[in-house]
Amino acid sequence: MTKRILLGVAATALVIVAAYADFYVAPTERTMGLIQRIFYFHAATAWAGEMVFFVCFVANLMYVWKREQKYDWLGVTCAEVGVACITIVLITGPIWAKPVWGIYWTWDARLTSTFVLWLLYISYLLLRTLIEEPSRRALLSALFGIFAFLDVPLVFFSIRWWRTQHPAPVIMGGQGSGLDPTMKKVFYFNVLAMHIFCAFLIVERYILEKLRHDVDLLQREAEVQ
Amino acid sequence: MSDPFAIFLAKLVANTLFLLLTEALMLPFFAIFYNISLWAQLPALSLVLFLGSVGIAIAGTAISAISAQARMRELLLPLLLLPLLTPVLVVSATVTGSLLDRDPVVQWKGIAFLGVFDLVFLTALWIFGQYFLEE
Repeated sequence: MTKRILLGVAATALVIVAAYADFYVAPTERTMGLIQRIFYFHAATAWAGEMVFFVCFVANLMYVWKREQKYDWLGVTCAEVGVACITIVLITGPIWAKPVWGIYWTWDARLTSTFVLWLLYISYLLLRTLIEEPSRRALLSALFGIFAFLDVPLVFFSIRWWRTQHPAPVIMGGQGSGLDPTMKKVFYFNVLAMHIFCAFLIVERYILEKLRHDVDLLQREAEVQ
Repeated sequence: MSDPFAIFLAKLVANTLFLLLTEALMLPFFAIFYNISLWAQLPALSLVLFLGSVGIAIAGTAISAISAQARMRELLLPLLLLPLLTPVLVVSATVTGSLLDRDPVVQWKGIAFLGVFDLVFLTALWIFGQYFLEE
């Protein structure tokens, strides 16, 4: 319990410090001005969200392979946390895009693939509510999760080839791209903060899922008696 | 039990043939009403239609095996399938569009992409197919 509280406090503190750094430590960007500051939060959340979905994919694979309930719990946990992250990304993105691009939304490669990613994991969560039997629900949703995750890079490349507008990657991008050193530090601090915050959410949600399972078992036992 | 992949393959072939039949019936009407001459582009167009239909059929067969075991299956299938089909639909539409342009271009990159999509999902179905039908 103490460990959970400590993790929660540390994660929240990191996010608050990261928010402070976004506004007061990072230099103001030359052409975009203040609105660029949303980038640190936007891109860091996107990285964390994609990481969480990757964990979800691994959990799905492990469930199909090992058939242990803990992987199913981890799968649904990560799907929910990931959907929350991507929702934030899809909200902060348009806030930035309106003043910079002049439009809220465009069907660009990254925007569309992020949107489809979001839709796929919402379908994953929807699918789970429509199958009653726990072991069947776990297996079928894990299989759907695997197919969904395989689809994401395909969506990205299909639309990248079609058209693109999102800024080219500034991190690990080509030559001539890159961030000011202070900006880079602030960005990586944000990435760290969001990852730890997501880890905290995953731990809490996982424990909740486990408790739900225990309650379910106890209820069934009570019914039998 | 017989090989589950064989069951999937049979369903897949049937679904593909249905899609291709529908497309073959629609194509003449499409050409007449939009006043497009298809003859010159027919070989490349058939290739796009074939690869696209196979892609839709693979993903559709896999996902229908999931949705058939859930409640509200008729509603669930399109909800699960449509996002998954985004790449096939986008690329097929783009390649078809440039084929029917005033200066037709065969976008081989797009056709190759459709092939890659089919291959990825067919492999996934081959590996995971047995688990879909588990009792």
